[in-house]
Amino acid sequence: MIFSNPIKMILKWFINLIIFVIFFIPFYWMLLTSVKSLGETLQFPPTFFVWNPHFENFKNAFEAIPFLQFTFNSIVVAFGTMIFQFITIVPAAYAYARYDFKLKNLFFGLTLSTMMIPSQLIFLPIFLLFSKWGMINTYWALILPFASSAFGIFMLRQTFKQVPEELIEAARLDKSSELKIIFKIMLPIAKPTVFTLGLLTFIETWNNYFWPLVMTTNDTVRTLPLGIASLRMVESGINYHLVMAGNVILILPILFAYFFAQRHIIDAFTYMGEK
Amino acid sequence: MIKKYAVSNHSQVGAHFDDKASISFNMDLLKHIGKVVFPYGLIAPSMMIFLIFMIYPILYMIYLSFQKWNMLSDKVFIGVQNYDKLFVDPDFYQVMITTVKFMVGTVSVSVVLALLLALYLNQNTAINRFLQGVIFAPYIVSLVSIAFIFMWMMDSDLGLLNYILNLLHLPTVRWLEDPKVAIYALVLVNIWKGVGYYTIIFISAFQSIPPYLYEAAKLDKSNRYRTFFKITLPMISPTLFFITLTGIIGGLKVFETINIMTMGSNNTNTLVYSLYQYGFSFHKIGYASAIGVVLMVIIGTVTFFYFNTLSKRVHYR
Amino acid sequence: MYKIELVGIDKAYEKDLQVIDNLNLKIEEGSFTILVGPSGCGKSTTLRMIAGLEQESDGEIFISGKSMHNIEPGDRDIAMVFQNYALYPTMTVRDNIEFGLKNNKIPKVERNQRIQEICDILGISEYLARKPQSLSGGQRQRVALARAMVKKPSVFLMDEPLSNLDAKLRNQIRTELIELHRKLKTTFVYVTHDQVEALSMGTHIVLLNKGKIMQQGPPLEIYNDPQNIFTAQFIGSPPMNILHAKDFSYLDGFDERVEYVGFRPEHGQISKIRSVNPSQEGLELAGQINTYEILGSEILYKIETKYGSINLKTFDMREVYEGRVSILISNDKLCYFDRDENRIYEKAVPRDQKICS
Repeated sequence: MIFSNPIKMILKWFINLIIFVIFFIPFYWMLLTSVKSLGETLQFPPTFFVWNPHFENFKNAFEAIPFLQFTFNSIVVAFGTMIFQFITIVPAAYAYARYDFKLKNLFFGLTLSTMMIPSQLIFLPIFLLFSKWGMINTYWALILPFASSAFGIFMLRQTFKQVPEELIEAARLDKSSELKIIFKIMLPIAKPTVFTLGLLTFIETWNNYFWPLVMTTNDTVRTLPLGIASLRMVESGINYHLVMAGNVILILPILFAYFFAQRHIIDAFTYMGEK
Repeated sequence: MIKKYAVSNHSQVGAHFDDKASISFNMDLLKHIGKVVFPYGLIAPSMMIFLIFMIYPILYMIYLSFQKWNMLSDKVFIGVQNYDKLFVDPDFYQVMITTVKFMVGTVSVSVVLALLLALYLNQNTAINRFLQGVIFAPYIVSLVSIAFIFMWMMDSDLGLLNYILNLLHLPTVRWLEDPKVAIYALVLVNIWKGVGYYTIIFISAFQSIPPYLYEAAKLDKSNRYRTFFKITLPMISPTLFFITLTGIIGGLKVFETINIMTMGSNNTNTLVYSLYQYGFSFHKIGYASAIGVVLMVIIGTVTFFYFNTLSKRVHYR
Repeated sequence: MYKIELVGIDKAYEKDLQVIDNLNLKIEEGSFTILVGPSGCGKSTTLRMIAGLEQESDGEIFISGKSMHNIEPGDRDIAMVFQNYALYPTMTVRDNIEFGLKNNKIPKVERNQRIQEICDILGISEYLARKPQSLSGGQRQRVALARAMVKKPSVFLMDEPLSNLDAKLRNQIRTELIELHRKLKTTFVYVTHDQVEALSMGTHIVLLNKGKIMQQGPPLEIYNDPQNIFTAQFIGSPPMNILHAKDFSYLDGFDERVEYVGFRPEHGQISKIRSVNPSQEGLELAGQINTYEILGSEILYKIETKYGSINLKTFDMREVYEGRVSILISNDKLCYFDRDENRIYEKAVPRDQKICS
């Protein structure tokens, strides 16, 4: 016993260290490369620390592509999607939670089944649709297909269902209108769920690369992930120092939020997985 | 489908109609109609989105799969010719094999690894919470960024991974250039990104198992392995199967890593990627749609299988 | 030989959170011992330490004369029934019952035989293939019992096993448990917060409060001869009436150590007029009836007196008293307690003295 405990301790810390290294090193490598010069990135064996960081990489990355435009587009698309989802999800979730109507099961089943359809499957017909409408290269093409979320409706419906029926009946007796019930009673109770859903949508939209790639043909409405990807085309060969500098800018807001609200974000995703 | 569309449209009209009802004389009847129509009005916005951007595209894709069309000329109905071509195309079988490799590799390794990590990090200590945070971080980071980071680390000549292999006196690997290895390199990236998520889900499932079950098992003289396989694992089986389902669908739709790291070369072309290529690079809309239908059938089968067999069998509540 | 012995047991969860304080307890072979007390008194903790689910901070536990130090729960020759049954939800009833047997490497033939036997006793044969969730509360309770019994342990530990059942079922299973104990003649250790359960089932009651034994003994002894106010008030419903002796101070004859006087609600005789029976000795109180509850076989009165509110119980169902009444408690029914709330056994008052208010 006396001997096994320190060995166990050392083993445990060794495993901890390995886990940490495996999951942290790629991020470190990104940060490190983002401040290396082109020459340093071409060295082998690679250097593990940079004594004179080349912060001009960020400036160069900024100048190589319309960075501000991309960032602005990312923000517009992320918040646009969030707002649209709020508008479509809240009433639908309320209806599925609180009303009985004839085709409820059909519509709800249809809604849930859309959860299984990835956007990578149906981008082609949607692209054709938007081309016909002349909406390629507009924010609409990036926002509208995600303007509702079956997952969001499902989650919020669960939350609404937990609100005791008596509370609503009491409100009805007080002559509240249905809309008033939704906004004054149900939504305040569902605030954490709404916030969680908003967070998940933001992360998903911010990170989305596939959709803007297929729905845009020029830079006017392209988002940051596409911008980063386009950095590799600058000059010949892949300029990893520039790509990594762009990467840092793309990842930073997310990691920054994660650093401060880590438990909350993890809980949000766990919540998603458990239902 | 068209009929449903009409119903939801009608409901909107009805809701609109209801607003004017207050000035009408036959208030009671209109009020009643309003009440019946109101819930349809509430679900109408979301149903519109789903119908236009989910249901319609699927139907349209099925329709397109029977057409020959390059977006310039007119559509020509060619029956099942696209499917005929697809099923004799050796490339298609290569794509199927690659897709299965990618999916099975990602899901199986991720689940086992995540179970081990979850067992290891289960106790609620400060260091475990920290490590949970670290392994989860990749999950919320854009796959584009991760693809670039790993592409850089897997560089055959200048990459970090080969440097480490060098240090350990192991033979270096041409990660993304060797057709035998490339798909597994992509699997590795996918595991690295997703395993933290699986782990967190498993930990939360472990912690929802009531502690008295473990006490009862102790009194029943169950050893650690028996307790894990007879109690813990069955208790988390709903989570396990849910994770497997989402993992399979998640694996089927992976695009970014392939697009950025290999462009589908070196035997890394999956169904989704070849759908993208045929649709966007070669403009063979009909053929691409046929691939899409195949993918849809696979997803549908997996989902159906999940909800009709597995979930019933593991459901114990 | 005692079946279970607890010697100098301490249990503290944190430094300042002492749950059990120097507990010494001997449980006789074949007894139906009840650990009873208010919540937080340490009764469950004690049971869990006997089971080995919780580690004692200090002291030693012996089962069948063997020290249980570092002995795993599975090796203690005990079985436990949990408050919420703790049935494995993923296993069928049969697998639940069989799990412990398999772990103990009992051959298949004997396993089947034992399961058959237990199922016949408890009448659960028809549910064997079902999962616990599809059973009612009472059925689950029986499965939990079966799982414990099938191991043929030398001690049964039960942690409030009836608390999740409705009143009718609780009474029924209570009777069944008593019969079961008679049949098996095994040691039962049973934890409850319900004094009725304690009195009705136990052959030996251990009353705990704040990690200490307040009194132990057979049910009748505990009821008739409480050694302190805590016991007097915890056992019996409504609790014993306790009055401050000093309020009667103008009367001499009280032992000076006496701080409290107590009597059980059923021991007061109620009457309309003062001193119905002047020849009878005892304590006489005047009071005003506040409320009464007719319970069928008895009537409960809440009576306001000069010395505080008291509860009274009469079995005379012919008449309900109202308004001002007089209450007489004969001397031999009075209990006296000192400042530390412990019983004073010597006669505190001369036999022939009548105490008047």
